[in-house]
Amino acid sequence: MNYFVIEGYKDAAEAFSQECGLSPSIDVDSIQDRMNIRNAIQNGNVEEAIERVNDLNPEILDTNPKLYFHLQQQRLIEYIREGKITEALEFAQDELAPRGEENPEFLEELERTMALLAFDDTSVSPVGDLLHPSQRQRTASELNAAILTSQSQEKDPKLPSLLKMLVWAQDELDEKVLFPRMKNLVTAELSDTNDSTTNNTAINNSFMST
Amino acid sequence: MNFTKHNQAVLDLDSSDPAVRVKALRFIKNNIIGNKTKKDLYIGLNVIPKLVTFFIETEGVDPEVQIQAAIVLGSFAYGGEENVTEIVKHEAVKPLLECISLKNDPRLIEAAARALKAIYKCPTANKNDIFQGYHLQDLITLLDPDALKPKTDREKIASVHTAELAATIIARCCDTNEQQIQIAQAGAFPKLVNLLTCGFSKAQEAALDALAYLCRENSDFGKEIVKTKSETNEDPVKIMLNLIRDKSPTMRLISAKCLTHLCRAKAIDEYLNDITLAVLPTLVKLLDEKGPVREEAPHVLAYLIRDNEELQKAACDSEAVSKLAEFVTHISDQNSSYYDPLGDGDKLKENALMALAAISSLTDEGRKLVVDAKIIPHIVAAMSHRSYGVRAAACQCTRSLSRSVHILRTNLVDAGIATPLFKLLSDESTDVQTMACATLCNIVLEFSPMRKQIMEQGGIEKLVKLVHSPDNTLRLNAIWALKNLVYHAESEVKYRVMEVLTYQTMEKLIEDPELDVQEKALNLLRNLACPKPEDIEEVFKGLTESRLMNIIESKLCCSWSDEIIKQILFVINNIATGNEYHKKTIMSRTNILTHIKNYMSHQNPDIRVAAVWCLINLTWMEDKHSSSQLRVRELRQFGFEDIVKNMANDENLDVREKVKMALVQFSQV
Repeated sequence: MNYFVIEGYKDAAEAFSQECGLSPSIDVDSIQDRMNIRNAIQNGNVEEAIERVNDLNPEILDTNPKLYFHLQQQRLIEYIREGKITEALEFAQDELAPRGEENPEFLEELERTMALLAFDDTSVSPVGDLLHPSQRQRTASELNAAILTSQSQEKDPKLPSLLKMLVWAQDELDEKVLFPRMKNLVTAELSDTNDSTTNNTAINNSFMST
Repeated sequence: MNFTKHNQAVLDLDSSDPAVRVKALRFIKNNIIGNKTKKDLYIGLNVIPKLVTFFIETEGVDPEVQIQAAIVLGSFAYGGEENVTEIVKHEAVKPLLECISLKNDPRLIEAAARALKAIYKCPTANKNDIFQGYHLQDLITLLDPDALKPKTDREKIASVHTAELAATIIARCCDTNEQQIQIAQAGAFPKLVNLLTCGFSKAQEAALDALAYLCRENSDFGKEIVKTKSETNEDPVKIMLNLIRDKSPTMRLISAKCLTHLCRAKAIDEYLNDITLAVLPTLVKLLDEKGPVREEAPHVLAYLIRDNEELQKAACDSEAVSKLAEFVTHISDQNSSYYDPLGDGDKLKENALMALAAISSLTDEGRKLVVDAKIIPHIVAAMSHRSYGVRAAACQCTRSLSRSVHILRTNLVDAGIATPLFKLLSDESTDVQTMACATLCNIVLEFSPMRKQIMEQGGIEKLVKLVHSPDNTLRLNAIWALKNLVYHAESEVKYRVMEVLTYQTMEKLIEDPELDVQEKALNLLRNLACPKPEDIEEVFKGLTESRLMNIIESKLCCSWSDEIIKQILFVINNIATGNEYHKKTIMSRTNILTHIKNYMSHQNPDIRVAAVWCLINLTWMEDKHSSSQLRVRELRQFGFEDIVKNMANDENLDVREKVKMALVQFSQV
């Protein structure tokens, strides 16, 4: 539930809360707001996302220069993707160059983005990753996290770190004991063990020794 | 092409159709948010006065127009100090304050509060308006999220956010004691303590920040906050001690700051253990964070341990010095900007130096740690840093270190601190000059190898120039350094100093409106008139006898400051150690003798000691000279012997010892 709410999966959150009889910790309306913004970016409509986030809380982009730069960079990427080269150049000059002057770190990223224009076939370009959907997702997640922070909510869902912890704990245990290892994280299927009693004892022992 | 687009938007603001206006406002808003260039562009197009009119002509103005206009004003204010100055110049603050009244649309209240927060973030913004009329009361009301009667969850988030904004504005408007009082009287404490339990971290942080500034250097308010329980009957200090263990570093920092302010205000003395075992280690740990948290943590740490030897020792036992030294050594001095994502490197360096200065201010242990961290060369380099805050902090650090005679004579000399420090006396910033002067006070002492160097570089001329400064503290520190320079100095040095300073100027300083300056000027006179009769003679010549005696008489009779009385008694003392003529001069002034007699029963033991010293020196007999016997008889006749006899059982050991000495003198005649 925490994962659905934080990552902005409203329908999933609603369905999940109905099935489990859980009530979501916050109103689903606010998930909707964030979901609209996320979708806008994932559809390449960065301008709409900026307008929406400014409606939600105008402070976010005014106090978060890095995020603002990444959104503008995303806009530039979208221009290039659509082949609007003149617009791209104009936009880079008017909007992004001043940000680069303000911060050298941004300049580097800007140069990388501009390198997209140098290749006809972006699939062979060393900066082709910028056109990949994962770039949109990265920008969308950064924005989502900033909105959550501004609303005093957790910005990182608990599920990924819980899963990481599970994998780590299983690896650690592997070196010491036999135990019913979770083979498949999606189905939570446990590995078959010939003698489950021994394994349980082993786990108990290992817990006692810690 | 771009420019016509923006020009058109500005023109559309004059439209009579609210829809056109709103559209133009939204267009401007989405252009300027996050974009400094566009903010400047629109301010250049003179948008601010137009926005202000939307709030003044309240008749028939679409509420949406006002909401968007308030957001645009707020975004301008985020662009920095010049923008805020523009907003204030066009008198936008009062209309925005009108907007935060509960009778308005909650969205307008939120937008206006946000704009005000951004405006008051600027330290130069005038805060008076908020204390006029009912604005402060409006603001306090907003601290309660339920005041806006939110129905949906979305509205609830907005009302908590408005409460957060109100708390932030309050935190930024308690610069003076007067402001603290007004805010407290308007009922801020219970509402802020309640906000601590609201469960929304941003609002909790803002409430902590406001509480911290309300009790800053204010013991009464500190105690009042500690006593204020939340509606859930929770103890605010307990809440804060929980919050310093929060997941979020910002929350940990602000709770540590609030507890620090309460501690400094002497409001939580019974929590000393928590301060040493929880607050201090939290602050040291926060030095490992990033950005603004890492930047402010050393500042809070410095404030917590200032003047407190125990806490300075505790800081020595932590890893504070090595972490802070790291900042001083490794923060690059490349041009940082407002947009630097790592925070302001200059500010971090300044705060780290201030924290190191605090750790090494009272204990040799701390000083040794700082020296061992091998940062003295970096401190020297920091003295010519581009940021005046860093330069001043480097001085402060040097000052703490120079309190160890050993370090002063070895490490500081080796590092060549004298020349860069001397340069700072001519710094463009008065703060830096003041701090450099204070540091110089230790460097020019008689046992300092750098004293000669400072004089050769024109130190006396420079300090004398500063003695004429209109800035009280700078004037004080300059005369302070001069009086240290002549302390135990050879007659030559004294002569050089007075040649440049002139006796006339010294007399003027003795009559300075600032009592502290008077005291140091008298201390200078005292240091000049010793130890040889020739030194005293020089003062008699320089001031003329009659003027010197006039100074003594007037200060003896009309001073309310113990320190000044002490200094003037020591001036008399030093003259009384002189030759026959000098002693006679004092003896011939019955007025002075009467005052000395009276001060022997002063409530301050230091003054009693100084007065008895005068008597000892006047009755001192080196060669059984008949004139000294005569003096003893005269003083006996004056009633001094009876008085000191009565003082034999004084409660103060030092006084009793001096009394014994005086009685021995009398017994010889």
